[in-house]
Amino acid sequence: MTRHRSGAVLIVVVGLAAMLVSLALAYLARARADANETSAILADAQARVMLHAALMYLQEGSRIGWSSKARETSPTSGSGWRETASFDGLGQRGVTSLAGNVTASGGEAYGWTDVRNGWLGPIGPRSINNGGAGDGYIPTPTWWTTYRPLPEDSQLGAAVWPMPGSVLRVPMDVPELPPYAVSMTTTPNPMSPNELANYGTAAWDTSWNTTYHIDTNTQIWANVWNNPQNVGHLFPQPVADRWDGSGSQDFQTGGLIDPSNPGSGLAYKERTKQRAWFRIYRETLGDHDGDGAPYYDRVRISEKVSSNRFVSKNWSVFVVTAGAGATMGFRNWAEVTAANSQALFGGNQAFFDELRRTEAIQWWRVEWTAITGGFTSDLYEARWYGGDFNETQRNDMVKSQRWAFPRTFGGNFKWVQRLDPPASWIRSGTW
Amino acid sequence: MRAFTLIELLIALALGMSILVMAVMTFRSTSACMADISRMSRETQMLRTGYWIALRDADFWDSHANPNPPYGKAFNRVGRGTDSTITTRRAMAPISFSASMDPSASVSDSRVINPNIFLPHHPGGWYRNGLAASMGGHLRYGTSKVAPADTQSQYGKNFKTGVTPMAVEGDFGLASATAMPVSDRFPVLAWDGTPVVASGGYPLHGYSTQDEASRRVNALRPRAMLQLFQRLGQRGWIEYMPNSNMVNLADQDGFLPSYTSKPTLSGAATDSRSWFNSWICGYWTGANAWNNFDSQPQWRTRIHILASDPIGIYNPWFWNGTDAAPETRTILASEQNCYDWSPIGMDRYDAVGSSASMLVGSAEPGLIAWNRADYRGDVSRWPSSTSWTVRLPYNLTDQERDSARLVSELGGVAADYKWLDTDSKPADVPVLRTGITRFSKFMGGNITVVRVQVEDPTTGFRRELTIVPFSTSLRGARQHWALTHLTQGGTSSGNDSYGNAPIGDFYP
Repeated sequence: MTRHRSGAVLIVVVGLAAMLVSLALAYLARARADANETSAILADAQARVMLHAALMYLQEGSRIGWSSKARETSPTSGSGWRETASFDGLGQRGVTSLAGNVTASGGEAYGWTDVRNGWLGPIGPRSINNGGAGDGYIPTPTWWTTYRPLPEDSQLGAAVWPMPGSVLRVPMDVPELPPYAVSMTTTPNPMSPNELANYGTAAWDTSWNTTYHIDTNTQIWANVWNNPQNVGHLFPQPVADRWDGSGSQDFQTGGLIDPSNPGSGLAYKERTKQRAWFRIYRETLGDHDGDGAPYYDRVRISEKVSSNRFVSKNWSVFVVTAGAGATMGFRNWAEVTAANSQALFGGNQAFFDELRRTEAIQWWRVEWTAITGGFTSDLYEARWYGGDFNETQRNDMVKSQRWAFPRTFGGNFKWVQRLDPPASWIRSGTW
Repeated sequence: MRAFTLIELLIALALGMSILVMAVMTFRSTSACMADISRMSRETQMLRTGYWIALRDADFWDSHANPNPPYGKAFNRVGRGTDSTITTRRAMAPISFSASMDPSASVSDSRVINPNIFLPHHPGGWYRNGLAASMGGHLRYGTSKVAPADTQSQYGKNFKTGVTPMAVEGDFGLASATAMPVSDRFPVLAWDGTPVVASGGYPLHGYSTQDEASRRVNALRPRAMLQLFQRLGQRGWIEYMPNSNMVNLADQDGFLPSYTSKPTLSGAATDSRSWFNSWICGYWTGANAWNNFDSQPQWRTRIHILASDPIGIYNPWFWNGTDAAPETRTILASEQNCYDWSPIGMDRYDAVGSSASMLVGSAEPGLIAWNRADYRGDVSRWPSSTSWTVRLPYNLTDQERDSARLVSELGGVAADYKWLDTDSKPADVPVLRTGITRFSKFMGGNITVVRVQVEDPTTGFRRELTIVPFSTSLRGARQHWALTHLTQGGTSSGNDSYGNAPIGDFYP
């Protein structure tokens, strides 16, 4: 008699295993779907971080980062202002001997719309020539060769950043070591010990012994600051080791692809490449004259212009496009080709279009202002002293103003407005 | 012949039963597991949905401005009455700004002065950040001006305020116009287009005398401040000021602008001190209210008197003699200590299942007098910031909202028709709620906190997501909603095609 094998147990076990497998697969599928959907949130958050980055750029760029040196690659992207022998670079009162490397590395500017006189900025500090030619005048910025202080839109130069009507596109790949990196060297807040003394003179140094505006602890601090180890104690120069370019990890050039070749370009961290970018469009006067073009232009924030009438022009409004993706902020393939950047996308428009479809983009409109915040709270307390201030009270106030209140020396933003997706990013537009 | 013994049969049955039980248990466990996975996935999905809703709320201010369900904030855009009627102030009230910053023009067209007046580079915006630059800079229009060449010493040890350049080191203002050639200063032309007549280096803005020029220019700022405060209230007013702005409500001669009027509140004091308290500080009771800020539970405005103030409280102790420029006598600097400010009416959405009115009522039980400012529209700072908008499944629908129609069709009274459907939800369906709280601070640093909450009635678990996003400011939101209003067929004074009133900022 033939013996038949029974497969019942095997069938049951297989069934159980199948259920477990299906359960696992269902769980994985759910988890995968959740992760996919959550990735959109991550991208949204990343784009919001890019807004942050763009605003910080606008704050810093209102004052710093502008050099008289042309940028390495293209003279047309060089920025800064004209450098003259009498240009002190920092605009410090009574300080006339700061020519040299400080001047060469640029100085400070005074806002996208210059806070001093309402001119189109950024522009450098006034020149000081000891009563000579050009003394006290604002230099002509070199980023615009035929600069006009209060131009109409029709008088603007080529749309090269930072000209109104131009675009700045910033990929946010993270360098292995950024150029001009900040070291941990202490750089105290600059204090001029004697506004009439020249830097480097005996009067400059000895004046620290006095109590001129400063409390008696000044000498103690001066001793610290005069220690050669405390680099840059007189003025903030947040650069340190191997500033002069020697060495492979130089703070001036940053971490290079080929450390021995200064022209090899920056090396970036692989994991951060093509993740995020921001794009800034600097509005022209016509972009905020309230005429409804572009569609969001319903805010008239320049003085109405008419012939022979004083105007208060405003070049401090920007449209920020914040993106989490790899398109580098190009709206469409036409922009890519116009910028001759096809190589970024392998010369493949379909690839670029796919990147555009999958990235998160936010549009914002902001108005920058030169107001830096912070204030004199202690005046409130000090009023109870009555009468005039004595020296102690005065010093208290000075200290409190300096330390107690946060100030954003790059200015602030009067308003921030999220924009609905502009049609020009869907169809080809002009802004 | 082979056969089963009883024992064999029993063993076979036991084994078979064990396998079946295992299979059934596995199936049940699998099913339960699948249900858990589905529920967790659904809740995660609701959290994600809540994220998008909450972030949109943060960016577009739905909880403050959106007239549609479930927000229902149409009341927040109600038009204001007159300048002295503070009961209609709303954070989203429509404002029609002047295109020009010329004082005369902006008054004659009954518009609010263009907010560009607050830009530090504007010639009428004398406040340039930092006391020294403001006071000692070239924008001193009074009779005791300081020549540019002397301003450096004014900044220094001779500056009687005690505010030295060191205090403002790094400010834009420090290097503003000191010793700047006349040709580099502004303005190029005066307000009315006439060439600047420089006298001692100081422009006349086209007016015949320096005093007149000074008066007109200085009047811009206090007038604009007051106009904004009258329309928007505490918070809106703040949002149009640059950071650390100084309150300047009086002109250079120390007078409150003639176009202002005292509030008509019951119990309002008649002197300007109380006037200021009531308007700016939201505090109007008691003749000595000025000195009682610390007892102010709602908000507190610390006023810094920088000079002989125009409202007669303190004697001049700051500047004296030739250093006393007229305009400095009028400066009040304000530091706003605001606590948590919640959107108007949000708490009403917390009243799920309660009989509390969803509308702004005429009486608010439990609120003391000055808290009435909450629903006067300025800002709300509710004692509890736990305000939530319930999303699922309590959505407010247009049909439910139309209580008048339901009353006419079905009878009863409006209160019979609930704003929120609290009854039809299946018992085990999770609930999604979102909340938003906006914290405002005068010197900047506004914070928006959005929260997303998913509560599962089956398990009792509650998952909450709290986000502090950088988002649209109030002024940005007002511009956005005005843009929406115009896009939907509205005008600065007319409703849109959906019947919604004007909202936000309009410019001619």
